[in-house]
Amino acid sequence: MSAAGTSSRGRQFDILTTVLIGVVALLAAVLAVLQSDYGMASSRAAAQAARLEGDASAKIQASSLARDAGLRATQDALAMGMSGIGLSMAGLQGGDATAQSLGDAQTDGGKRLQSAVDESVATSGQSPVDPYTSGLIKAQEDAIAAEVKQQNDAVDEAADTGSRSNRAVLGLSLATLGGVLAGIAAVVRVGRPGWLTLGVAWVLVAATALVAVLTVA
Amino acid sequence: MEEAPIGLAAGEGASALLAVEAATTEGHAAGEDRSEGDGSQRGVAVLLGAAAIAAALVGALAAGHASDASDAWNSAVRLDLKRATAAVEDIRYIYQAEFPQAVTIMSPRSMAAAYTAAASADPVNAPALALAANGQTNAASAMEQSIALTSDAKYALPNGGVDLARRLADVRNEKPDLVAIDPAIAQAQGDELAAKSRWLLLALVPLGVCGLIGTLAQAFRRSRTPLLALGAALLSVGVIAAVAAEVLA
Repeated sequence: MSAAGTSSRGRQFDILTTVLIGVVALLAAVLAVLQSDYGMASSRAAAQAARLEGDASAKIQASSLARDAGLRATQDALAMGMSGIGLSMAGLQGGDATAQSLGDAQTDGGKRLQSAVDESVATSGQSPVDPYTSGLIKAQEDAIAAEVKQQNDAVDEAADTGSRSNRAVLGLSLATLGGVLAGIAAVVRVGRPGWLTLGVAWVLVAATALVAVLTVA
Repeated sequence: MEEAPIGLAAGEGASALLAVEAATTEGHAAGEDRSEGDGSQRGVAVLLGAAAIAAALVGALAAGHASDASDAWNSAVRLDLKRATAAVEDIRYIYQAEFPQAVTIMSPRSMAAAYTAAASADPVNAPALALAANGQTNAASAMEQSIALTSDAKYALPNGGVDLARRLADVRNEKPDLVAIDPAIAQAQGDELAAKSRWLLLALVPLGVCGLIGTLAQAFRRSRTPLLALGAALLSVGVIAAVAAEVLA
């Protein structure tokens, strides 16, 4: 091979090596942007999912506590009224007017207690309770279900953006490897090992570009 | 504070490039090819070095903001849980501890009222009804001082009920710092920092292209001067974009 041919090949080799390094720098910059952006999106979605989970859980607990307390008090009022009815019926059967009168009064007492309980429960979550606590107490099942759906969506988003971020890291790893091989090729110079190293480096950079596209797609 | 190094790097890069271009022009005039080659190669090295420094600084700033954003979001999660735990605990106290006790006291009160009403309407059984009313009243009186919900008149309602909302608000306001927790502030701070980080990261793209242009300038000697100019322009765009993102975003 002539000296001119060798020089021309050397020139081609240098151009391919330097361009490769430039492409690696560009791809690395793009992948770093993608990795950081998707990483942040994943962190935000995961935090949002945790917040929604906690909020839904608090709403379930708070609204159940308020509802259950009202139901238990209603049970007490009903038990009192039923006890009065029993006493009244026993008085009626036994011809005991006093027992009957006491039973009727007790039944009335049950109704009065129920009225007091209803009046108390009606204040639940009303002013002057702060809006957040009020929202917990007044939470309805459909609203909680909607929040759980939002939470699921946030979890899905965190998983999706997280895997994209991981793909970008893979791309960065490939780009690094390509850059290292380009450096080795530059040291080895023209010759079969040099061309081979440079070829592998270009393949790795092509794979990096593919990973970058897959990260966004 | 962290903008200064970027500006410095850009300034150094630009002045070095100007020097290199000046050197290149002089080389042409003198017809000294070797000198021209040395000068333009130095320009490539300066451009690539400046781009690398700028990219490293911008990347570090963006990563710092991204980390702070993540911290802020996690802080919002912690605050949310703290707020929810405090609220649920207060609700549990009112509805599981105080309200059932209040119902236990409301019960004899209701009975006493019913017996008294019956006694006035039934003169025959009035003594027995009055006795029963008295017993219930005594029972209620003995217990009602045990909890604020029934002992404090401000919680009393017209039909014998208790104002659970007012009592809950009072219990909650015993720890106003817990009521004042607002995770939305930390969340908004996180979003703001993330936006800043995102803008900074976008500034990395022209810097990356600048790196590519710099290597092309090295590879293609004949087009080196325009490529160097383009690279310097991209470097300036990247640095200005980064400074703008840091200051304005």
